Formats: sequence, structure tokens, C-alpha cells
Amino acid sequence: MQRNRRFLIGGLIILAALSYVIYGGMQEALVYFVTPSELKAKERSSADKFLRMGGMVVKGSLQKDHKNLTYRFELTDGAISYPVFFRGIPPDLFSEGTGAVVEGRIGTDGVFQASLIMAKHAEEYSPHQDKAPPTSFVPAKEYTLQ
Amino acid sequence: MAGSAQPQKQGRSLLGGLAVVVIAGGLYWGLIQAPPDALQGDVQRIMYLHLPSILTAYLSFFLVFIGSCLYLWKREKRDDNLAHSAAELGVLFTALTIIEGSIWGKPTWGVWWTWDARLTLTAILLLIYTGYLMLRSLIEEEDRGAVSAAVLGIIGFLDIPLIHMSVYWWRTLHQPPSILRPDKLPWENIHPAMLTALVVNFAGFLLLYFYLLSLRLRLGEIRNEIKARRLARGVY
Repeated sequence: MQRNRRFLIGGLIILAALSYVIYGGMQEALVYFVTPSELKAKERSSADKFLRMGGMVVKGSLQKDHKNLTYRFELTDGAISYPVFFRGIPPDLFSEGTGAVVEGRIGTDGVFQASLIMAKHAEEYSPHQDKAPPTSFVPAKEYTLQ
Repeated sequence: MAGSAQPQKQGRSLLGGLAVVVIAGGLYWGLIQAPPDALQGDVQRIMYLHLPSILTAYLSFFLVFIGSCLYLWKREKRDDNLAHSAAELGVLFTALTIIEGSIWGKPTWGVWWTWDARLTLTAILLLIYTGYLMLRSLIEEEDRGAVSAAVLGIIGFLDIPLIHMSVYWWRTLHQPPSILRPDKLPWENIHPAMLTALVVNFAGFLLLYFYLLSLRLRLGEIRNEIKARRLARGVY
């Protein structure tokens, strides 16, 4: 029984350490995407770095070229918007005023060259499109970069 | 013991039959009765499987947690059997969730998979309990194996609150919860006609789950019985 108790206490200590490492580590490493503002702030150090940027597709910014399959648009976090260029086929849900996450690099011209577009959708489901589209993109209780 | 086997078997058959009926109802509600989503169209119907799958998996790992705690406390084979059985089913339903999520993700998000916190932690959940099952089959000394497994079963469960909170704590591609949240009522997120389909399917999944669990528990009991008899006779 004594041995078991030691085992249990040891296990709990390992567990606490593990949760600390996971929580702390993920805060640092698992920033799944940066916002346009964050990208702007570290534009120089991010040059040539493969990264993800997320935001809302700015209304009126989307220019499609169906012949060449190119898309130009801006992503915004409410503060600033960042221009994006993409060649390929975006997901069906990708449209103006909705959330999107793009993967790629900052080009020499300051335009984000996306190699992939992912569309984000809300947790609301309805047969009618009566709800106003979400205005915020990042979680309410979001973790913010220092 | 032999006397209780017959009514137990009948109860199980009833549970299985009921599961078939309710799942058939769920298919009807999910595929025909419920209206398609305005934004996503018919592909949104995957939700009627995806959400019940993960909730069933959560329930299953909660039973692993309970069974493991009880086993460490009282050392009764019955509790270990519960934890082991529920772990197997939890792995099954987690794998189902990930497969359904992938099929849903490709046409809506545009990708089968992405390493955001929600998806990564769910993959970790699958790994933890696959590891749990491997641990059980690797350690030959049975009681020691059960104790180690119980510890892992308890620790592994902590991944579930992490999965749940991941969409609040970190930026993810996955959307926040539609149902399991205190700030909004389920029908504020999901149209009532769709919610009915979800509830019927969830009921069907629960019935199926408890049917499978009862079968697996009985299998574990029989295994333990055989081992005990062999031990009593001195046959190994």
C-alpha cells in the first residue's frame, strides 16, 4: 500500500508537470495562425518564413480571375487588412465577409503569397441565412501575443 | 451466476434492437427530415454523426476514468473490466469522429486535416488510449498491467477538457462548440428542425454504445472466469 501511495503521488507530480508543459508549450508554439496586425508588426523577421494568417475576407476586396484561377483579396482582423494572392481552387465556403486562414509566405512586394486557403465556418447551423455573419474571427477569450 | 445470464442476454438483445430502430430513425431524420444548411448544404448533415460520435467517445473515456479510479481504490476486477472495455469503445468512437471530421472538413474547410489545437489534441486522445490498449496487451503480469493501465486511463482523461477548451484558449480552424457551452442554448446555434435530428442520432449512438459495452463487459467477465477456473485447476 505504501508503494502504491508513492506511485500515486509520483504520478500526480508527473501529471502536473505534463499539463504545465502542454499548456505553456502550446501557448508559445501552437499559435495556429497570426493576425494581419501581428504579421505587419513582424513583417521583416517573417520574410521567407512559411506561416499561416487568419482573418475575415474584406468585403469588396475579392478579385477573381477565372481564366487563370487567381484570387486577390484582403484579410482583416478589424484593425488592419493584409493583401493576399492565391492561385488554385479555394474551398466552397470561401467568400467575402467570412473567416479564412491562408498558408504561405510574404512576397517581396508585401503581398501574402498563399499556397492554400482554408475557410472557417461558424458553429451555427440553419436552413435560413437569416443570421448576420460573425463579426469577430478569433475566439472571444483569445490568447494574445505579447 | 448461470441464473442471471438469461435475463441479461434478453436485456442486451432488447438494447440492441432498440439501437437499430433509433439509428434508423436518426438516418431518416438526418438525411430526409432535417433541412439542408443554408451555407454548407447537404454536407452539414455529417454533423449528425460527428457530434454524437465524439460525445459518445467522451462518455466512454469518462467511464475509463471512473473504472480506473475505482480499480486503484478497491482492486476489484469488475472495475478494471469496465475501464478496459470502455477504452476499446472510446478508441473506436474517437477514430470514427476523426474520419467523419475529415470527410466534413475537405468540402467545407478545404482540407482533410490541419494541425490546429482542437484536431491535434483529438489525435493525441486517440494515441493515448491506443497506447493504453497496447500497454494492457504488453504487460504479462495481469494485476501490474491493470494498475499501470488505470494510471494512464486517469491521466489520459485530462485531455478531454483540454480538447473542449482548445477552441477558446487557442486560435483554431475548428469552430467553437454548438451544444456544450453555458452561454448559449443549443437551439440558438442549431435550428430546431436540425436539433431534433441531432438528438435522435445521439440517442441512437448511446443505445448502440451501451449495447456494445454490455457485450464487451460480458466478454471480459467470461475471460476472467476462464482464467480463474484454470488457475483453480492448476492449468495455465
